[in-house]
Amino acid sequence: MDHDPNALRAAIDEVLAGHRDAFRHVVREYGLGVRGFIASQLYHLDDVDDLAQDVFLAAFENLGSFRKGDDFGAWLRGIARNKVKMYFRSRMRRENAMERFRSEVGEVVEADLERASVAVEEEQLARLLSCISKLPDKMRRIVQGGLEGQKAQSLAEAMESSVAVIYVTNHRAHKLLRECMARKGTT
Amino acid sequence: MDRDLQDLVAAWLRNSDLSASRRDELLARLRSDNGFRREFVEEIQMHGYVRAAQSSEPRWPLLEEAMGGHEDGPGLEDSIMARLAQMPTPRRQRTWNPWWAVTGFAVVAVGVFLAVQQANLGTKPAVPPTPPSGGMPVSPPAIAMLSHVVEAAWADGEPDRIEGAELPTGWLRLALGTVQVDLFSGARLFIEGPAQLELRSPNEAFLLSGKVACELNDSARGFRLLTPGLTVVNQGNSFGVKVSESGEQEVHALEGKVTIGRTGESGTSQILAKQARRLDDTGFAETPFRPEDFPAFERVREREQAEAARLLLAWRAAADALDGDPAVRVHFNFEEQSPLDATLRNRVRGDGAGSDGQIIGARWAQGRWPGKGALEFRGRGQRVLLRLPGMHNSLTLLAWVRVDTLPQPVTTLLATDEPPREEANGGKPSPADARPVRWELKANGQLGFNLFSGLVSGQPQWSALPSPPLLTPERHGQWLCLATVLDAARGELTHFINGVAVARHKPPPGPPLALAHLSLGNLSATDAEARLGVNYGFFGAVDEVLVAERPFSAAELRRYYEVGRP
Repeated sequence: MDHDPNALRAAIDEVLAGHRDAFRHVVREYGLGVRGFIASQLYHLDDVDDLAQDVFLAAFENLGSFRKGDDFGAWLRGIARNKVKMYFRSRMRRENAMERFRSEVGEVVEADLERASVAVEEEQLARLLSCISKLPDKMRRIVQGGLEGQKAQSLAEAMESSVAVIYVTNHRAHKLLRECMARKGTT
Repeated sequence: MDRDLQDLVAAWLRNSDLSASRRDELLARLRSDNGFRREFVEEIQMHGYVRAAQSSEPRWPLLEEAMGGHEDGPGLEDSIMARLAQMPTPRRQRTWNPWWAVTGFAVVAVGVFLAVQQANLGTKPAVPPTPPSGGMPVSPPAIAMLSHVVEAAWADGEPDRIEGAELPTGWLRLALGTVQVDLFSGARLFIEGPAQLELRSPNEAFLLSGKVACELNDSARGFRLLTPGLTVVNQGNSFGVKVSESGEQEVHALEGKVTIGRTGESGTSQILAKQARRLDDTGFAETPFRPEDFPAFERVREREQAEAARLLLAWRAAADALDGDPAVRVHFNFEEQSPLDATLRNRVRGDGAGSDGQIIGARWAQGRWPGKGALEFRGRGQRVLLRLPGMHNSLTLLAWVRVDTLPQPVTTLLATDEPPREEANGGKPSPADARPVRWELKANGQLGFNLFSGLVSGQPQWSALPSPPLLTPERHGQWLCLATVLDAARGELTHFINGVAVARHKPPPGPPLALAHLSLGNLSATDAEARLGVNYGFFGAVDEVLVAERPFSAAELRRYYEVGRP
């Protein structure tokens, strides 16, 4: 992620000096990245929001242990990973084989997801909504609709298409979005 | 779009269920195919970003409203800031002291020295028996037992305490679930997460946040539960206390009278049975009595039983799946057997499978969950004999055990029980060019794997490959997943305790392993050893044993531990 290290350092120093309002800067700068990181692994958006808040609260509580010069985004993702693991663990015991499967998949891709997250800059994320608006109609409808749960089937019915086509179109849309986000000057 | 990728994304997004075999296929590809894994990660990452970006406008105001933020605020920020107001200002950790580097270097140097010494010892005779207290880490004295754990998860940074753990003074930070803590004073606490509670002594605990029900009797008379604002003193009755995150504090007299006071102030008052008080700025005020808000003994038991049944089912499914693994040669799951059975059934059948076990003396008992079988060993001759044909280069040994005590220098888990003994006893020479092995526990808490390295003056010599002394007395009485993996291709032996790798060794090269005649839970002493009173018998219980002729990965062992932990 591409953040102003000086502004971050100043914000951390202020929080540690007792000016907790300076933590707003941290939430503002890293909120979307942390939510996106969690949302890539969790299904329920309510849970994503709850965990994202817990991540920032834990970060505040442990801010004194953050070492200057380290990657703050990576530090936050480390906290987020623990929260997601605990979330999966608490559910894994209650739920079925598919939940356990998703938990295993999450473990297998953990390192790759971290690498992929490091590669995405904040300004690219800021361009995402604009990039979505530039997608062709059909793709935009699918991306905006989302594919979680039964949405893929509903979309397929509404668009008189098959679920497989919906997935393939969504996959292509993601590629276009990545290309668009990588282009500077897109607004 | 690759079909596997589509199926995996659909399953990830809860759009479809997959059969067990399809799940295994996709997991296998995900593990082995870097390109596939990368493509999947890109897909879910973009999916996450799109969801987060699109939801921020409509969602945050709702969240903010729920959290009591400002209407025109950005939501996340305000809701977090509102909650931060309840928290103390973080403090910078102590600055770096150069002496730490010196100390750290010294520790590393000593560690390296010991490792080299250990490697040099590798081909020498097994180290002489260590007295039970030798080298054992000293633990702070326990003041309570963690008697029951129901659907619990500990907060970040907390040790992963399991049922049966002894608890010293200190903080318990429970993220979710319910635990029962029995203090040695007789006070019994049911703590419901999220909660932060400090055990201060057998007679005192401090609740910073969360809910606690205290079930007390005369032996715990005088026990005090403190919160940031109030003190509750036991008079042989039961009460519930809660401290909300916003600082609201309540006491409910669940059974009989309860004496309460303001923390740090003199003077007390009493609450009669089935009444409750709330502490606010002006003092104590009446509040509705709500016993259902607190964890109760019966409810904890009911949930515990339901959870145990669920866990047993989940473990059964995972255990059954292992029986289909062609590399698994022995799998004793101790299931569906009668308490009168003298044979322990190997669930693996077919060519190359190990035999059933012949039970000698060991008694049937309850395993990790009600309804799950186990064998209990009391150290005196009890054992299970089995045979496993063939020569083995790589190996995974796994056992779920409950160690009750380690009273002698060496306790056998599983060991080859013939060729070297015959030789040491002046018997017949070894029938095969293969190395016997011993998987064992040392009195100081080391998990060990010993490889036979030859005879010197008629005495068998062993290459010892131990773990650090981790099976210390506070772990006795708990169910533990012990595993040792010998990976011939990598030339590496790794010990695992509860799914975590705890020691790695380079085993000395040599012929394959001999497992033709194995003994579980004991080993016959040689004549000379018998004269000295040497005993290798295991004291405890075993409720699962697995022998596979391939090295299990760390991830596999961790998953199997997770699905099997009681």
